[in-house]
Amino acid sequence: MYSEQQNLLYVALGKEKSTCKGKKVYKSLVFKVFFDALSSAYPLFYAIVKREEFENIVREFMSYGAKSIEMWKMPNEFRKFVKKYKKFRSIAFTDDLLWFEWVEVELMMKNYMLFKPEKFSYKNSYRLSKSAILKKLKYRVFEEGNFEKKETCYLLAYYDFGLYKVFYREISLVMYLFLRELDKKGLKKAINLIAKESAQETKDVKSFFKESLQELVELKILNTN
Amino acid sequence: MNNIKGLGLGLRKEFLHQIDEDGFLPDWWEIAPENWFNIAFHHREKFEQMLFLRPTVAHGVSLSIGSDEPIDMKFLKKMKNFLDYYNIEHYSDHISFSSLEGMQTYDLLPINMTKKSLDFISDKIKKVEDYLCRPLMLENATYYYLPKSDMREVDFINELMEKSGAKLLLDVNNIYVNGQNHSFNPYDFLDELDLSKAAYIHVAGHYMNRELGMLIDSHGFKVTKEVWEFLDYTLKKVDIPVMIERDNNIPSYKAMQTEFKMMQKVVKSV
Repeated sequence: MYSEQQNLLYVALGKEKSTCKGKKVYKSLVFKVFFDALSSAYPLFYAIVKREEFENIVREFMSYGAKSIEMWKMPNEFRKFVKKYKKFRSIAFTDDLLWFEWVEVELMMKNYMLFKPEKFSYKNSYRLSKSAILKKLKYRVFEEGNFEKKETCYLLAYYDFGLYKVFYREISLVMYLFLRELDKKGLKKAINLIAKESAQETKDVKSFFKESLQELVELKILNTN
Repeated sequence: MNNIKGLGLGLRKEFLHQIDEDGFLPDWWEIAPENWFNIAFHHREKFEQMLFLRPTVAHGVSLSIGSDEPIDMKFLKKMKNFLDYYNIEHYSDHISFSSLEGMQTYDLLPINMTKKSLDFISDKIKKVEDYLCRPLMLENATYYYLPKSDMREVDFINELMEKSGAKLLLDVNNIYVNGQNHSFNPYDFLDELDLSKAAYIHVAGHYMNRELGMLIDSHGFKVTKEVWEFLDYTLKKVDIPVMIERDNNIPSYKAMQTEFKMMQKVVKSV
């Protein structure tokens, strides 16, 4: 029984060929499931690489084997698969674009615990919330029509609890370094880092970031947990 | 089934927010649990409200009870946590397999209907039931290719239900689609099925795929006239809850209500 099941599954995933009409029906149906899920998770990538190339990548990914039981996680496996094999990256900004599209799904689907943000205070310790992700990009994939523009940029992606949407905000290098340090080592060390790098007094650095930090706390991008 | 009576509907994210809790509600919901393991923040409150308002059953697609390998215990643990958390008593999946060696197809593949697989699957069913602390129901699935079998499908289902003690989730659309694709009379098939084991009924839509030359059980279209007639025939033989299952091309809640009224009409006419 095992080898027969293995053969049917392999044919359905395109790992093996078959002349059996019935098995080919499964190949067609399974392909449709993968294609629909991936084209809706990555509409920009799909539009840019065109249908034929997209279908080829989907077929290769299918035969490579998707392991996520929860289907919504499967596009992330696809993203990692494309990243792993250079031959699928016919366009230079593929990795950044797939990250940009995937992160929207990821932030939408996370199980969040609702918490009421407190007023920002330098007395508290903060971390980046589960609802926010920092990323350094090589291409401006967040700007429609400007995807191919090679330029190092820094993005803060976050889930908005009021509007139920994912937003992307381009941030400065200073803000990126500050938030990264804050997430890793805490607020005090982040202030110290920026003060040291910019040769400023810590009180001036605190004053500089205060308004931004207040907003990030209100948006639940930072929390005290 | 305890607390499940009357007519049900598949609860889907696509129309979740169109549901008015003071307006039309079915007698019970059926949910696809794997789709709710992670509940997007903006769906959680409404989803939980719907489960509070109506009894709910879970109908999964990833158990892969028919695969010739042990049950994925990590998956089963997740399922148990979910069912326990939402206090869902009834859980079902399909007489099929969907994964092997950890590779997922996200589709339901047919199994060998043999005495050997009957024993193997029955053992797996018992393990699942023991772990979940609840009975398992299994749905008769469609198949577009029949792997090597030494039993007729109807005998296999009857024996599987008998041997394992599992209940049958009777999908009348699937019987109809299989009948058309494999040239047998669905009415004869139903006459031979042990309906004392049936827990509830699924009705769903299908379409003709001209390229493949087969009816495809897509659950993505309206229920056809032929399937409504087949449901009518089925309900004359067995009095159990019925529901509409729609998994693809999900229409508005209002459109689902129209289909629901059709189901009501068929049920009342029996």
